[in-house]
Amino acid sequence: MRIIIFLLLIFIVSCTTPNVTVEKSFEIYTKSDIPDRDMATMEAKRQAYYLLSKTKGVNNVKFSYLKFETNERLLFSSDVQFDDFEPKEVKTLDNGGAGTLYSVVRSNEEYQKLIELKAFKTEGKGRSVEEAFDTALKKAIPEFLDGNIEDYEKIAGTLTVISIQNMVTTATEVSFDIIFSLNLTEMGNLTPKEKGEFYCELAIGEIYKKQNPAAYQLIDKATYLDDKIDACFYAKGLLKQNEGDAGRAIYFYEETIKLNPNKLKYYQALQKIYLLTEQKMKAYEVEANIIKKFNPDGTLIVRENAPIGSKINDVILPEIKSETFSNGLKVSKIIKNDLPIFQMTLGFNFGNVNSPEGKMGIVGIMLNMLQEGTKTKSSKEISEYIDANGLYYWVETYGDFCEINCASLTKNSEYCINLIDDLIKNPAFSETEFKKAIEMEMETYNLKSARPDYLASKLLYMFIYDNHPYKYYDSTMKTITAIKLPDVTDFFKKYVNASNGHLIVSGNYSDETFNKIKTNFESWTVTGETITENKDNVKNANSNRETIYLIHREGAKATIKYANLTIPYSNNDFIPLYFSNEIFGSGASSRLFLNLREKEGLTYGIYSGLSEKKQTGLFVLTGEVRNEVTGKAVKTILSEIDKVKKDGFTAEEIENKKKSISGQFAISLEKLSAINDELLKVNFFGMKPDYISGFLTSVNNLDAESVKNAFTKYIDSKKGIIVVVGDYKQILTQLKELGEVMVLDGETFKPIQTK
Amino acid sequence: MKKLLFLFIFLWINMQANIDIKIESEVLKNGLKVYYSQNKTTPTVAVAVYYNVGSRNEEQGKTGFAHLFEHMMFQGSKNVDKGEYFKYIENNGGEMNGTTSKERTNYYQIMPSNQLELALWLESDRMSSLMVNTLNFENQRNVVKEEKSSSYDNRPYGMLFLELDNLAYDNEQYKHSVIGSVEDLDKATTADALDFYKRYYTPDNAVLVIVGDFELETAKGFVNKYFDKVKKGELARKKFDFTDKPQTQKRTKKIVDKLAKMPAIAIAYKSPAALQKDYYSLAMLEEILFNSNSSRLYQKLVKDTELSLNIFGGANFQAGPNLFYIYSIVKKGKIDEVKKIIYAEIENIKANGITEDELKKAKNKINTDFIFQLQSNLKRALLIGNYALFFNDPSLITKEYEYYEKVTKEDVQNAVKTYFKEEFINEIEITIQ
Repeated sequence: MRIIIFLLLIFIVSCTTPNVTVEKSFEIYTKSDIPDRDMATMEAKRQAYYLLSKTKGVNNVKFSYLKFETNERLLFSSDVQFDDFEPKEVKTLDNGGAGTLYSVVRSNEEYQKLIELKAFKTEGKGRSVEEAFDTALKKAIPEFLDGNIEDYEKIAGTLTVISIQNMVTTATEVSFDIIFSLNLTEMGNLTPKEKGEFYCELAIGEIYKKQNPAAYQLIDKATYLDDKIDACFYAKGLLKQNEGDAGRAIYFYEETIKLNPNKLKYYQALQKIYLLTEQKMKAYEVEANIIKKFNPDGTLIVRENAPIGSKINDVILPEIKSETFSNGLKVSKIIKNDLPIFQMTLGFNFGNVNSPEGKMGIVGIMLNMLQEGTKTKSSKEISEYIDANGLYYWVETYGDFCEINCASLTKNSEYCINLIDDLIKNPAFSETEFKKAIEMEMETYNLKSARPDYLASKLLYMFIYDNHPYKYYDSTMKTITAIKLPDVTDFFKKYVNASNGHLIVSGNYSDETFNKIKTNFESWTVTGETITENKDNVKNANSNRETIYLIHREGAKATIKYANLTIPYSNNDFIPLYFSNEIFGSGASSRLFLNLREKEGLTYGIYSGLSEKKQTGLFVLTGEVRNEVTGKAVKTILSEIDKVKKDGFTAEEIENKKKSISGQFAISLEKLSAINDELLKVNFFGMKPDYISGFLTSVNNLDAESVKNAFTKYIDSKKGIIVVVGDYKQILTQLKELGEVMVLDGETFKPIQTK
Repeated sequence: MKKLLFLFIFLWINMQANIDIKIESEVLKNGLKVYYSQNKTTPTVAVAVYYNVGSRNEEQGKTGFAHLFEHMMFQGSKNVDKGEYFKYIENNGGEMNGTTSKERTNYYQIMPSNQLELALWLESDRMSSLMVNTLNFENQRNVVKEEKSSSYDNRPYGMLFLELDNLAYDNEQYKHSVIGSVEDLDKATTADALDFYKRYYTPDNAVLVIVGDFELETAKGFVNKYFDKVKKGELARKKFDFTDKPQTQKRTKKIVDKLAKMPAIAIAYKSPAALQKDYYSLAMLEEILFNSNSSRLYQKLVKDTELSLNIFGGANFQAGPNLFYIYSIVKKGKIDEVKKIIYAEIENIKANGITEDELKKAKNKINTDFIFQLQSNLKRALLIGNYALFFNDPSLITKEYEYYEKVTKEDVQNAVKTYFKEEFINEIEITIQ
């Protein structure tokens, strides 16, 4: 504060003397006829402004100059504009300069008493500036020795301003030196860093005048006082740039920005040198920073904070009631009355994993065939029935369970009930429809297998699950053709029964409707087998990476799959593991997406997820990348995984994800189908009945440590299986840098000999 | 006079469904139209912004710009850093995206309802101060090229949809694809992007829709707080002639698709825009021909003859020149047979019309679709956005169903006669290697 007061004092004295303000003297100066007036004026103002800025009276001063300089389009906050012209050296005072000095001094009789500057009026022209100042100082010092410190301050201050105004760096420096060394004033009490800053600003002035040796001296002087002055690093950058050493110049500019990230001219210098050295992307990065940080006038953009939402509204779960019908069919009732809609989902506790050996795909075929005819209706009649009553009917087959669904408007719910009742009690399984179903399955397979991501998943499952039934990602042509009609009917008789089923009735419906369901489904007699718990027998799985599998597809773009074995959905670690993946690789704000797509631009999309399995599931990461960056992408993926092991997750990430998961949970409750699916998993995977209602509490109890532990326990970059589908000619060399690579043909899956 | 327009809509979808959707609207001084519709079933709120700009507004030689710009809108604005948009939404459990069509670009998010203010702040920030810089532009240009490569060039049948539009439309503004050409994308500059932003991403060229669990006065307060200050656009928007020439001759094309495993057939007819009577007549035709398992062509091609793996199509909800598409993936060597069956069915309808049962079935299906989609607050917001942007009538969310209800058997037959003439066919065959 004392510094400010003093500096203000200097300028009050020297600038607000009647009739001759700093502005006024500039005016005189600029009206003089010196040939390099513009340059001199700008430089004078630049430095005067710098000094003024130290007073924090910066805004008023700036505005007055801006007003003054409107026509010259000068912005004082951005002295980088001096790069745009070639400064010339001013060695001697001419009429204009002498006039300025005289004007300033003449107006203050006090000064005239103290120093004989009158001579300037008549003798200034042609006289060396240094000489003039030397005289002035000599005159001043004896006065000081007489004990008049106040006057000395005035002189020193005035000299500073005058010398700055006239671009007489040496004199400026001299006057600074006197002030600093004599420690006479508050200016003398500046910190070493502040003093250093003055010298560096002077050095910059020297550089513009191409006085490099002088600049170096000033920088040295400043560095001696403090070696972390941004202006000095900037000056060094300018010097190196002048000397043609772009590499060092870039280094100094970057260091300058690190020391002071809030000055536009530093970024502009860096941007410019990147452009000059044709490092376009680097220059664009700097430009992006400039646009983000600064207003066009160089002042910092003041950013608003995002509004903080109120507390999340309570997520009210729809009421769920459970009962078991007399035939053993478990039933859940969900009431949700907001819209006149209805859905029933009949789930079964078996899925692809229960396929007989070599007959993967049988569950899907069996379910698809249900709607292809019953004892009383043909396939076409069933389709007519569904469409005429505006029903949605669909089936789903997963690894561990499957389901039959029907949804309708409430007024049509009875048609849904009758439909499912008929399909499961009276399927026809005709030979004609079976042939069609197989044919369709084969064609669908052909179509799917053309997709690189499908191929990659299929092989990934094969490699990682080894001898476990989960190894079949999907059916294959071989398994489809192996399935015969008796297999389907046997499978149906064996497993499709009330003891393996779980019925969910949801939406807006009456007791009468539910009673109708009860009447129909309680009469469903139990035949066949009841599926007992599947034990987790993922023991021979390939949990160690020995090689990277590269599946060759001529000309294809690379698809990367990475996987680790994890845990069953019902495992207590699943929620923390799920939580960790939400941060790591799920969605567009995940680490993976932000780094590989947004930052590196390596891919259009990259995500990771967890399979929700009854037995040991997978962490699977999928990305599609350009061939030429495949190696880099794999490397980045592995290092992202390692980063979790090393640094874990931040508290901020954890807190954000808690909010995020709570929000997702609310959104997921909008649709009946999502509620029904989650409820089925809970029931079939042997999870606690309060899993859904307690889910948010479990999530909110997690901390950074438990989440990191879950991730590192199961996700290991050194073990994960890697499968890449792409053109080996373009990818192989890149992948070899990461380890052994086995190249397989994309059709036969046999190894390809590569050179 | 901030509120120039004040509507109060109270409607019933139909007596049986018993659903009312109330929509209130206002127009801010800067021209932004805002629509509010409460639905407190779940604690979520959807916010959608529709800008009246799509690929049809692109000058020739600058194709792909509207879509590229959709990407730019996630690259940061004055108060939101690059990548932060995703973070703000996803960290609060929301979901978001943006899409570009020939006629409009939309941005939307669904959030837990306590974050309505955040969603509005985010949308207002990018409406008023998007950071258009070369780094983002270069980065997103590459991402779009990746997208084109993944979704079209490197995907079986990917180019089919683009080629069909190119063949069927005569109007250049509709002919070119939304994703644009790589050559044009490469030519684009940051200055083009900035100009595009200033011209089209202005409040007077947009509608804002809020649907879900919120208090009306609170939501209005947020809207006024954040959107009132967005400046109205100053640059004139270029006017294009969107009318499409009538077709006089059948057009055909054959394309070899190296990635496809099965051949395919794609057919397009020029068709009416949404809200025109025959748009709905043809929507019924879509149901009757192939939109369900009992539909005519599904039964003939997929079930009976097993010549096709699938059949699908229909027309888009478009305000300008439209196309009615028919696509089918067919078994090897069966393209001619499939074509014959498709065209024969069309001729059959021209000659004999459709049955009352078929019409009723189609209407039942559409009625169910209408009500099921209302489960989602986001879907409601998107519907209102479309209706408001193109027809200035958000109440179509309930009223549009009446257009379907009014269609008669004769309407469908007449529409087929009018729009599906032999010389109006545009046909692409995909062959495999």
